[in-house]
Amino acid sequence: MKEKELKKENLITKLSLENAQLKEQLQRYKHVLDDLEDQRNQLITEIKGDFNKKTIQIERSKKALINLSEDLRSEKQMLIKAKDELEKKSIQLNNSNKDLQQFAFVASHDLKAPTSNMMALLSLIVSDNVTQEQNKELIQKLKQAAKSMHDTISTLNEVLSVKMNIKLDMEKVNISTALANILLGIENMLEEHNVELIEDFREVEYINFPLIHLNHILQNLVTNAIKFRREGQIPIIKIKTKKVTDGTCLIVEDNGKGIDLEKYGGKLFGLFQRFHLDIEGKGIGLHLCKNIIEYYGGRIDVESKEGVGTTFKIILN
Amino acid sequence: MKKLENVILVDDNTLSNYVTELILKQHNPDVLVEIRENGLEAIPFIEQLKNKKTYVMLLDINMPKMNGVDFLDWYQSNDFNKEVKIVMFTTSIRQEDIKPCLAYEAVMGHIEKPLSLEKIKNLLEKLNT
Repeated sequence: MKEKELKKENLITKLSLENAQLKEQLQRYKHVLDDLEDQRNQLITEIKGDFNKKTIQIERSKKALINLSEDLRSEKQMLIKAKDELEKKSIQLNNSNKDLQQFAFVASHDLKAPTSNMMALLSLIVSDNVTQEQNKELIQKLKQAAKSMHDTISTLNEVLSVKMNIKLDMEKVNISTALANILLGIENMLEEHNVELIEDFREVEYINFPLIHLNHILQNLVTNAIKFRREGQIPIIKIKTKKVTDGTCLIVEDNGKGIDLEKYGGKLFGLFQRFHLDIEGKGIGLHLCKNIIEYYGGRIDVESKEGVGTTFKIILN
Repeated sequence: MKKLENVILVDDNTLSNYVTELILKQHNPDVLVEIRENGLEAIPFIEQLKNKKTYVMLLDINMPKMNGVDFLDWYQSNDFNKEVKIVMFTTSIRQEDIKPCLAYEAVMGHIEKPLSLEKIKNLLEKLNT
């Protein structure tokens, strides 16, 4: 029995010792665990901080990128604008080049005719077999040729002076007022031919264009419509404005003679081109209109039918 | 040397016509000169021509109503048995004006205005070869 007790005691001692050992081990494990926990927390903090930093950095980079792309976009837009401008300028330059070439050609051609006549007359005057009487007539004709040359040079001068002084500042023009002023200046002409004028500027009241030039164009188109009226018809001229996609359209429509555009369309705006020789004119009006309009980046179109009438459309942006 | 006898002058420049006629008369006082101011006006005269005489036509290019090229088109589309020898007569020296005209069968050549006795002489030499 005693032995049994002793055994039990021994077991208890052993167990408690083991227990203590286990406790101690547990304590150690706990420390390790605590350490690990600390390390983990520290790591988390570190990672969090890092993450925040990274996030901020990314945010910053993102902003920088957005700025950059905005810069690029506006730069691209500027480039596109510059390109458009350049293209426009190049077209203008091309047009003015062609125009100058045509001017030089027409000038030389139209001066050549009277010069050629003068040369021929002079050769006749100095030849032996002409009488005093004949010579008088030849000199008279020589005068005529010289005058025709002088007239041609004067007209060329007139055209050139418009071409040279073309650049004026844009202004906001009330079309109705501008037209009224022009009509006042040609009152006699309007009355003489009973001209019926219909104007409609409800859609666009103001046009951006140098007033002097707009007057020149309007006056030309209106007087042309009267000059080239149809026999036995009261001239009806409709002048109106319309909004179009690329700006404003100014329309001058008449019920006059009209013109065969298939045949003469290419020459209608040409310098010194005339199509109704029984009607007075120098052949420079429409040419200068087109010149002026194109100089300011606009264009002029024409529709016409013989015996029905003509419509000019001026598109200004 | 042979002289020009029958000339049709088709040109809208009346002063030029006046001098041209005088120069033709200087070349041959007996010359007959018919003057028409454009192609359209020349048509009736050409239509009533009989094949008897040989005509030389001095034809301007730039004219109202019917210009030189349109006249040549009309002339070529009618069979006139070549009684008219056409010479382009113009102040223009632009090849693009003159060259297309020279391609027509009836066109014998080109004279740049003004006409002179020398140019008539050259023309006659050309017509006789």
